Amino acid sequence: MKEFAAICGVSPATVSYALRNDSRISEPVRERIQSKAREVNYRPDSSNSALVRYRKQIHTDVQRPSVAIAYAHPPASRRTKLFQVHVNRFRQSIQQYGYDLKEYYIGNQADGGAKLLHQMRVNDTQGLVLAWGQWEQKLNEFPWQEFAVASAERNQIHPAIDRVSVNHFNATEVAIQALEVRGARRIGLVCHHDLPLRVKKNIVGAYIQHIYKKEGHSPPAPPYFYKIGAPTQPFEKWRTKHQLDAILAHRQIDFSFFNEQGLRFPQDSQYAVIEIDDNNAHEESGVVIDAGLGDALAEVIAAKLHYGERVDLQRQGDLILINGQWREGITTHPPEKSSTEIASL
Amino acid sequence: MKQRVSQKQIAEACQVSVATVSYALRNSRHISVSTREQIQKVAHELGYRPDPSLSSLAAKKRRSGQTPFYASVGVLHPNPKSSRATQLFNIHSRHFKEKMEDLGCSVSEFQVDSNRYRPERLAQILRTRGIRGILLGWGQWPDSIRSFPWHEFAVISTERTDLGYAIDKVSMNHFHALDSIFDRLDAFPESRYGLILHDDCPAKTESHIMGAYHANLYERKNLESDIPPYRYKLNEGPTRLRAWYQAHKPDVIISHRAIEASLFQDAGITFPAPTRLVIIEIDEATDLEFSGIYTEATLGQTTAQLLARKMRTHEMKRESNRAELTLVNGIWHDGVSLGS
Repeated sequence: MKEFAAICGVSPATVSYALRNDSRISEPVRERIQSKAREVNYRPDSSNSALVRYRKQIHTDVQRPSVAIAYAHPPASRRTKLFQVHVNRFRQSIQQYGYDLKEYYIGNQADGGAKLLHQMRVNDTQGLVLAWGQWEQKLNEFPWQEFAVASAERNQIHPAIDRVSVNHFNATEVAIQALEVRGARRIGLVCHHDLPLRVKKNIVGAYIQHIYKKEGHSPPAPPYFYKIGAPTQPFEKWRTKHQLDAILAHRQIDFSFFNEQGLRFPQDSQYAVIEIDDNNAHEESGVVIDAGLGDALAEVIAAKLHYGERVDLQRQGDLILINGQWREGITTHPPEKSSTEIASL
Repeated sequence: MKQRVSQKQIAEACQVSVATVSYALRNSRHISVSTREQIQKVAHELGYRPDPSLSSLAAKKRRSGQTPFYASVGVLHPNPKSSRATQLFNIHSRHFKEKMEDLGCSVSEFQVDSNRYRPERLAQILRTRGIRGILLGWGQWPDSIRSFPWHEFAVISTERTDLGYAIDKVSMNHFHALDSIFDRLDAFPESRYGLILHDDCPAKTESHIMGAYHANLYERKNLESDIPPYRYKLNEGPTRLRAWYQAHKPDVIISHRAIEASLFQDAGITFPAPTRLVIIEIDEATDLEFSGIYTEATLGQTTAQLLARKMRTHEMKRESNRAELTLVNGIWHDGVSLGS
């Protein structure tokens, strides 16, 4: 009851009264608590008398309601691994609303979608989160309108599904401004060659428009596309040709790539990253997402379940964007300008 | 036209009652998972499609009957009813109100113009009326509003209002709008695209539009990229626009908001030939049927969903210091200004 009271945002006593339909609680609040109890399938434990309170450690087998997360790729794939930090946060966050998390890997099984659907029905799971990945036709026939769904994948899986994503446009602007107050004059943009088109457009668009906005700008250096395992030489040629004094990468790149040509940060060039997933044990300066994405996914799904909202196929889904925070690493210089000057920028 | 497949036909094919089919297609727990899936499979094979008007009616009825009262919310208008900002916002607040009521919330509107209330007084009024969620209307806010205790309420604003707090915002997805405009323009041979922005366009909106413009030029090397955007001032004459048009000779104009058709005429610009025109965001009545993206009901509806969600988060006493931005896609409309 304590847990359930937390879910409702009221005290356990209020819950107790409301479920007994006691008139001490106002009618709207009573109704709200009762409907919430139906939604999460909460029933006061009748055996929970003083006598059995000693045996609290013995759990009844009442299943907590669950929310599902589906992955397009196996656990060891790069996209799934990158997404783990956000899943962990999402799990923590959705548990506070009273839901357990169940994970499903669709992979390349032809009937992956049907299996997911079957499992969700058997467990009476009504909320679904879609992880990062290339979904293509994998969930083509899925009956979205029966579920509350949020997608973390920025590309559309179905046009009616709400998406929760990092605000790449904003993160790019934040990182460029941070590099500039640290003295950068010519910033070059590095993207992984396989980044999704929508993300690429946001990053490249924010980069080019920032340069065009400046008085007397010279043309922007064309973005460099990095491939894991490729040699460093072409990159070094690009950097010298465009006389870059700062590098802005979309995602973290293994330092050995830069070390191969003896490039040191921040001595030879400043370096910042647009999208860093977690705040642990990394040295790069850049924009960190951390808890934002997992929390937002949990808030969206929990609210949809609370209000009984399902995917409305007649409507276009919304895009919910999460802003990151600049983190000072060891790859940039300290700011040149005072904080008041920065504030006036 | 092909005859609709009825639930009766499915019932006969599965040798169950019509009621069972109806339950199974609604995915009701009254029917076992295996029977449900069997019936759904047969329905799919027969090509069954629910009558959309009937099922949406039933869903609506179900909702309105069951939705318990949830909360009271307030819409705060900073300017008088007759102001241009409040009038422009009307269409959005109407859709907002409808959706909010659908979610079980009652909506009251408050005119807070001309420092009528001190912030503490306003907060007290809202508290007394049990209001937990606030939508900020459009217009100029007095500076004093900054001392309003925002943290006590769940607050949503649309992008025009920026009070500088961690208030969640809803905006049209200008970036996506430009993407879909460029995709449509791919069907035409022209290559000189000029942009028109209103000079009171919020800085964030302008960056998104310029960013999407450059990103799409970057993806299309065949297009010219040497045309500076034109900044339109409300109620200005045609002289500057004509000079811009003659200097840069755009053969496609992409304008953020609609401008009176007569201004284009006076500036010597006619569409769809020789110049095509498309509008990024239309939410007001215009004197001409422009081609472009209309926001219609979507902005108000999404704002309502978000505020409901935020109240829920608030109720859970979760700290939420980050402001989220939610972007809404508009609806493409083929008017007369693009040509075919």
